[in-house]
Amino acid sequence: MLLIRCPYCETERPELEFRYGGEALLERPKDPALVSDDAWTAYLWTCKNPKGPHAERWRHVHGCGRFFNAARNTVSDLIVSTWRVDDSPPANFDGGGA
Amino acid sequence: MVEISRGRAAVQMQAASGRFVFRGGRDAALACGRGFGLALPAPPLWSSDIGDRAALWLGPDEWLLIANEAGTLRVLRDALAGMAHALVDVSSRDCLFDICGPDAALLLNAAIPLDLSEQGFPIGACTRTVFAKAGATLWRREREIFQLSVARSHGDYAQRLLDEALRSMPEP
Repeated sequence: MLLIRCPYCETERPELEFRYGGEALLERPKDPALVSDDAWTAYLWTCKNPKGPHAERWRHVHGCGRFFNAARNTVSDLIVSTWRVDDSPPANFDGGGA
Repeated sequence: MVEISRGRAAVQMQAASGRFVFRGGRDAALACGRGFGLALPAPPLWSSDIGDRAALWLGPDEWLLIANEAGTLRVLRDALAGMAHALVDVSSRDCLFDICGPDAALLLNAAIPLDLSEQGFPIGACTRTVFAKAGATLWRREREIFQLSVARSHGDYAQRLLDEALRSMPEP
């Protein structure tokens, strides 16, 4: 079982308490009506899906209930770090494949 | 109160008590604590209690308040008047179990994947977690007394799992 550190509970918890919440660090277009259909479609549906480091949202659903961000390596499943949504990613994190 | 025990652990089904979920920012939390007569604990996964009332940290802006006095909700509402907050009476929502005895942690670990040793989960610690497949709230009130609560619709499920775990407890 994976142990994931929740940055709000400040403790490591078993993965059973968590849910995956999709890709992180996406910027929603400020006015969706002004972007092209292609750009909006890409925002909604096109994932980076990298092989390696990936910024992800996770939710501590059976805990404090909060969403947070995690840097996970999609090859090894190693979660390198987690941080609160209003914090910056770790300095050495490359943000995942483009 | 119904109690079932085996070996060095016992399960007591408790009557419903007054329970409220409060959510709010720092100022509202201070006001809520003043109205409640008990400061809401700031450290994560921690509780404070005085007499038979208690406040349990559930999230960075969320606490479970336990108090049986009639009128608690009105007192809290008055203390929070004019402030942004959420206050919900969840007294009828939960099934409460007290898990007691020297092997209480061993019994709970049949369905809870946390370190419940005195180092990992000391007296006063509280958390939401999973009890097998059910969401649960766990609070270590005393060294050998844990309070477990699950949603009422999961009460029968939790009770049967606790019975099953009790049957496999070692005899002293």
